[in-house]
Amino acid sequence: MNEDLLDHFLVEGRELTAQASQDLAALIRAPSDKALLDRAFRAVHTLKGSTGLFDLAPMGRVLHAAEDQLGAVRRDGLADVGLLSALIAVVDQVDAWLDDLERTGALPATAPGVSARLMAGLAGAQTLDGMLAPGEGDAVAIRYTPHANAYFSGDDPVAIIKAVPGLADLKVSPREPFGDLARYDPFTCNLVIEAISLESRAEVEAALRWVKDQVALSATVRPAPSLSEAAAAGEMDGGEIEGSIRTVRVEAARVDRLADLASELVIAKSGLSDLVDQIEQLPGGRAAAQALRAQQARMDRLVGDLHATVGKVRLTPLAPLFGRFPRLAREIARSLGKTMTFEIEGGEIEVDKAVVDGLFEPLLHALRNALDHGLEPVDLRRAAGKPDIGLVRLSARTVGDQVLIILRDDGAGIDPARIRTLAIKRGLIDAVAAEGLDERQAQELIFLPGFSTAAMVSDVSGRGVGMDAVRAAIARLGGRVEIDSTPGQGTSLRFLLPISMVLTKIMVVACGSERYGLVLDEVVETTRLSPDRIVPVRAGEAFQLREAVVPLVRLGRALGVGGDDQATGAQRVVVTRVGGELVGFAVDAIVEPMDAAVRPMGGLLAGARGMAGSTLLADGAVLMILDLQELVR
Amino acid sequence: MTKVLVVDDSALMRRVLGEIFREAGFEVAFAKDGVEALEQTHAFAPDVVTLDVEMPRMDGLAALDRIMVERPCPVVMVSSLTGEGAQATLQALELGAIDFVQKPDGAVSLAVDELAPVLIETVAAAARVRVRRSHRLAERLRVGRASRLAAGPARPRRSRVTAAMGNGTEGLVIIGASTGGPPALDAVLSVLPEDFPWAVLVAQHMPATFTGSLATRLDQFCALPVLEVTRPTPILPGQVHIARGGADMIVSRRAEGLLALPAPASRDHRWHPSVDRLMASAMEHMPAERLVGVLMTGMGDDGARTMTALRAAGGRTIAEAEETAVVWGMPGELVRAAGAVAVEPLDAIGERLIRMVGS
Amino acid sequence: MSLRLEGDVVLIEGHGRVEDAETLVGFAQGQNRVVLDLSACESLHGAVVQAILAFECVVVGQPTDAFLRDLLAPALARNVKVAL
Repeated sequence: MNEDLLDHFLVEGRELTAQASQDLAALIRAPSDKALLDRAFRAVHTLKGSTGLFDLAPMGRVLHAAEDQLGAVRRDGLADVGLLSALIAVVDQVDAWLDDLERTGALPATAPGVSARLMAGLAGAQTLDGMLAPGEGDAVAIRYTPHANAYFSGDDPVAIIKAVPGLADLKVSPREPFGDLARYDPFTCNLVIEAISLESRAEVEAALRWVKDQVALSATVRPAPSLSEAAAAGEMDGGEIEGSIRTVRVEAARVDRLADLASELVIAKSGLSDLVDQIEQLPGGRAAAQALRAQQARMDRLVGDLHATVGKVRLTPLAPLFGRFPRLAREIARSLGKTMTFEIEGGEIEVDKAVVDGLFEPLLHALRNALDHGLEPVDLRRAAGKPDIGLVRLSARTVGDQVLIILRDDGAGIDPARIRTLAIKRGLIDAVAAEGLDERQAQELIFLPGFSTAAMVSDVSGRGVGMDAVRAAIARLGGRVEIDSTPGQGTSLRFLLPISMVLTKIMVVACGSERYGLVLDEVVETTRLSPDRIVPVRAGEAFQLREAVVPLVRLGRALGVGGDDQATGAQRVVVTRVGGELVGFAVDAIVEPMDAAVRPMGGLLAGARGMAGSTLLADGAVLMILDLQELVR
Repeated sequence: MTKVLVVDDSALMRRVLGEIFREAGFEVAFAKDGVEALEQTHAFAPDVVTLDVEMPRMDGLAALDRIMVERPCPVVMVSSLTGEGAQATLQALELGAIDFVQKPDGAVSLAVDELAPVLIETVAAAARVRVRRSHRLAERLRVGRASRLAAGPARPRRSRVTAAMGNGTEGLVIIGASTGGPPALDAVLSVLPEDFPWAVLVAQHMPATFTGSLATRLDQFCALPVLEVTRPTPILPGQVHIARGGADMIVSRRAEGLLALPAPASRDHRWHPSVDRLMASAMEHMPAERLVGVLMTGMGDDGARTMTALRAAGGRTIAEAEETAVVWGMPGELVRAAGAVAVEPLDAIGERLIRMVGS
Repeated sequence: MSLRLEGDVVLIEGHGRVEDAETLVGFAQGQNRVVLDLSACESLHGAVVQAILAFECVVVGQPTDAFLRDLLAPALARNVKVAL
């Protein structure tokens, strides 16, 4: 097989599967969208055509069947959920086969069986859906709430649900909280059983006819083919997939929206505590405030749980990301006239989708660097007593609630002395300071903006984009990158990233030319004060806010940057709650609210007073997040 | 040939019951109300009477009362088992009816197939019972007293505060009964004084709708509070716990003490609430010496096995004597298995219990 | 009886019947958290399933019954919060 041609096919194939998968998923929601249908058809058609160039008969057969089905849908103008789901399963499988092709150059031994099964699924979906009323999905969601006396009437709800054909998923939970377990009544039924069946609604109804007064059914979209099904299909080659994971396909945008809503809920909730305080001050408001506070504590926990759970929904394996690199690594290495082996490990680790999405560019850049500057040409490798073929390894593992991704090469490593020289030459650091750095610190100089220059830029490593861009990109994801290099033996770039991206709502304010972030949770309100409302109080200033006298801190002065001593005009004030007390901060401007991954202060700034952490702005500038409590003290 | 008098105001029901009994080889006569029934008990001289409750002219209870006085013979109530029907049926049992069978209340064609074997078995067993006039008189006197009590002002109940504080019971009395059980329970429980120190658990074979009424009735003329166990209930000393009918009751140990727990009828047991299952669960949580088993009138052998085991383990048991038992099935089995520590006539069981538990 | 206590682990052998719910409650009362081995289990009555949920028993073992292994056991595992 011609390798260039196959590489081309892999690139194009991935684009087409992505296109088809996206369009088919969109068609489920908008079945009458002709443009989507046409695009999905063309993608599958093109994919089938390209497949014919290679010896990939099982893949060609199932794509042919898929194209036929899509053609029929185009002709008849009727796309139903069952067929679309079956088509998505085909496209997903083709995508997986592309990975196999890339890794091994051939389809796995299971391909003929899997292909036959998928074709049966296409045909089956058609006939099954033919029997269903229009508008009905082919998966049925079941909610079965047995009577409290079910066990006494001789019913076993579990046996009843087990008798439902085509069960794909099951959830059992208590109908009501169990309460005091010391009085637990084992024989009063307190269950809700939820299940998904892939059988027709009629079959499900028949199986549940004796308890139909206790059952609610609804049509739903067929879940994505689960790994257990794939495992069943893979049995003949030893069943490489262990365990079973049931998945339901959810549009990424919806998950994002859910995450946004959860975050907004966190913010909305934080406003409550101030209201509760106000209520407490009202005559007779103490009892109500206490009750509210208890309720609020409960809501805090629930909202926290919700936030964390939504965070987990966004987790996605690194494998698809990692899977893009072997081919790219080969291409880059070939263009540099180098040979190497590329290894991947830890693709199964799941990380926040935003992190995964944001990692491609920095990793690709780091990979280019490793292949370009790290790996030596063969003659140098031989001289150093290394094998001709270099080794680049991309691995991931979890470290607590973070993921550590390491890109390691067995190349020349980074010579600290050379880095020092270059940094001095480029005016990034003076000679004295350079001498003061230890080897690791010297190596870290490569992350400074402006370190990589045209002199170092080759065809591959890109122009004008240095390791500073990599560091910034990683920081935007709430992570950090370190370098660990041993001259002569190789370099490891260690990317430490949060598994779950926790975004903090920040209010950005300006003081003179500086910008600072305040954690929105701490902000109660913003207001404008005419100068006459600000009164001197002992050493400081204060103002009247409704019933309360609130101390005023001039932020610029507190931070020693000046800028907010306006003699005239209204003063902008951010009212915050710090340690239970209201404090106003006078600022020059309130810029904008934003979501940011806040990192604790590290490195040189670790001891900076009044700073809680930092985040990166879109333009790459660092935004300091204020520690108000410390500022006030 | 067994002679059955079918008393029912519904012509359809008379026909259905008549066909069932004829097919079973009984000789059948009919009466359509209480007046005719009384005439027929003299003219036809039946071995067994099946009696409907709701009838014109003279209803089932009035007829039963007269039959028991004028020509005592075994009577099986055929009645609906809900609401007032359950109350009336319990009263009928107090008045001397041997047993009862639930009237089909759904589609007759379907229910008859299920009804027939129960009806035949019950009537055949009732036909073998010897009804003694003197005994019945005693029953009737007691019923009269119960009615007076129920009509009179509520008696003051001793405070249950100490018991409700969670002090567990020192021991358990477990009473099993079946056919003829309700009046027998009355005879035993009404004798127990209000300071009776142990808890009493009762498994009376009955359908579900009956035991609530049974508990209510017993509560009216017993010094001890009597309640039906419909949910996990702490077992308190000096309290009578009646197992809910149609299901089982078990004893369960929890952090705060013993609970009486309704449990779905186990397929391992033929009769429900099962005496054997109740006793077995009690033996798991209480040493044998702190258990007393009482087995009273009833068909079959429920309770005999576990109470024999209880005696073997050092516990005490009382079997109702043959001369007072309406059906000497269950107590008879206990005596035959050498499981009975004492064999007592009905009127002496209560006193015997007080002596056993009081010491 | 299909429940058996072996060391710290409760084994369910054959069919977990409605009566076994009470037996399981008995075991669960005495322990912090019951570990339930379903390896030899063929089916579980709803009452037993409910007791497993109520007392947050940890379910282990790979039963041969497909429904139990692939659907019910994972569903039960999902309801238990285990601190690892």
